[in-house]
Amino acid sequence: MSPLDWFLLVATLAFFVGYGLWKCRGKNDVDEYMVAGRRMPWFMVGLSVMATQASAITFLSTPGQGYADGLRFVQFYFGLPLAMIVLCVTAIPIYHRLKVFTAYEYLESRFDARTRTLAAGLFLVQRGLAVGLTIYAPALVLSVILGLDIRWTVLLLGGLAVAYTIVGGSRAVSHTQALQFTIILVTMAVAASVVASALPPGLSAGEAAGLAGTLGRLNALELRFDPNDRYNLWSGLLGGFFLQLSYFGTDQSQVGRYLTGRSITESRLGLLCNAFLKIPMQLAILSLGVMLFVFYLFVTPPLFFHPGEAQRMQTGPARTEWNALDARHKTAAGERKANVEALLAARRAGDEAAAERARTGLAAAQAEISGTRGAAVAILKRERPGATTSDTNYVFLTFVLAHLPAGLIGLVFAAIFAASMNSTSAELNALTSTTVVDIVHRLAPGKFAGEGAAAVRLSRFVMAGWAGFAVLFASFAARLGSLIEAVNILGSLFYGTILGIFLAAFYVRKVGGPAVFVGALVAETCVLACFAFTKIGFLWYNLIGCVLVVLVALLVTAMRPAGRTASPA
Amino acid sequence: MSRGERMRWGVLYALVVFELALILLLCGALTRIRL
Repeated sequence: MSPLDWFLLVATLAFFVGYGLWKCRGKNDVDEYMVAGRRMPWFMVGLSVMATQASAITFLSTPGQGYADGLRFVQFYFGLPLAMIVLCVTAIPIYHRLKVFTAYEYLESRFDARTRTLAAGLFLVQRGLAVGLTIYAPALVLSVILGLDIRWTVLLLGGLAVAYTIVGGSRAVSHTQALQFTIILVTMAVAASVVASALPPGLSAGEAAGLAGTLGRLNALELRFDPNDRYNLWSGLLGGFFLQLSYFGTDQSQVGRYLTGRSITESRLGLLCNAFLKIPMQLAILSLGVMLFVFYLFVTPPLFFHPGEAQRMQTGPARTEWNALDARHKTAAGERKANVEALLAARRAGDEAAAERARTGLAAAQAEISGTRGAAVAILKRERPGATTSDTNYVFLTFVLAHLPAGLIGLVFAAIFAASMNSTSAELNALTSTTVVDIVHRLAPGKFAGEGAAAVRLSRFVMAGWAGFAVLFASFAARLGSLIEAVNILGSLFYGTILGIFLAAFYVRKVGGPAVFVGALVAETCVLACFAFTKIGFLWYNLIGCVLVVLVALLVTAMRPAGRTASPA
Repeated sequence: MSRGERMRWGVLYALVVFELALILLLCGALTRIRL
């Protein structure tokens, strides 16, 4: 990066932190600290909800996914708009009416303290580990690309978010998210326009799309039902619906965002804003990756996009094998380019026979490139066990560093940092609210009077604890190896059960606390068994967990003697 | 909630579903593109 890029990066980050601190000056009671005084308009709620879900890794990895795998990932979000409607109708009015700080408070009034503690505990375990990963994943990528020690990038990413979140709580989170998310979207749009302008001059948008489609990168809809296939229409609509319902309806990092709305209407409009914009936004980011794929049809792509690993292999003990593979890859990329140009020429001339020959050559060259990339990963796995074998997170930044003008590079990096700060700050705020309201307040009610300076001090102390844990976890995450993947999957293992508890609370009036508690334990055991012993796609865990909680709770209720099943609310 | 308010929310929810249907159609069309 040039000095101008470094200057812009540092200045933008300092501006974000300063803006967060400025926005939270003045009055700061518990209501302000945990739910921003419940005064936010709908567009702030909408931006905050979207910014919380879109972490730095979303902006790093999604273009890479588009490059390597096409548009199929967009199907993951198909259930989201429907989930938003359900939440607008059910959850928002209830949470607003009860004036809760956390979603789990509602469970005590509906069931009992035990069920509330179970749900809050599951959230704290899952989100507490995940916030470390929210910092670690982009810190790792940025350390490789910027050539900084990972401990510095972890400290920087964690420290910047903590700086204003710990002082200003939820109000600082909402205001910085709105500003940062807008800047991120503008920066990504500018980056996309640079990719578009880097394509060969004579290539029309239709031809670019045609090339991407011919090579399987416009696979946005898969109608075939396969429970083991992670992304298809059905897993997206059904599994995705339950996942998004659980994430937005029961995960405090999201509930805490729309509880900041100044009325039921503002919170609802905020969620509907997310329902309208989320899929187009994901489609646009994936399309950026597809555009990168088309760009690299004309420019030889690296054999492996992770610059650190590639360099180590080029100079390591297996360099002869690696460099031979690299030469094969370059030849295949040259053949692919020749076939692409032949196909374009044949299509423009209307020569269908020549076009068909070019398509066959193109498919063969693409298969050769996929083969050489597969062989490169195999050598990497053999030579450096535990090394990063996926390079999707590096595709976009490799392009940015090589092809974006000075100044814009610094802004893109600032946007990635901002995305990390967005999700980290919301998660820390949610962990703090849940720890203080659902755990500390219940164990020692005197420590939390509901408002006042003492409660804010306690909240800041708790947040400092969570931030310290997250930064420590992120610093040691590299040594956890494959455990990292397990932590990543952890969220999906708990979401279904938590959602089941909430759905029973909302819709099944005749079940009570003890029945739901038993149902939750049985469902969680079954989901863990599915994870350990089957190959069922993780999106289905949400449906399985949720349905089991409700069914077992109904069964237990039916088996209990009459008169002992009535619910308290 | 008044009847008029329920109607307004109903229209908004219907618009969300309509947009999802349009996105599914767009995705289906994108999937079929070839050169």
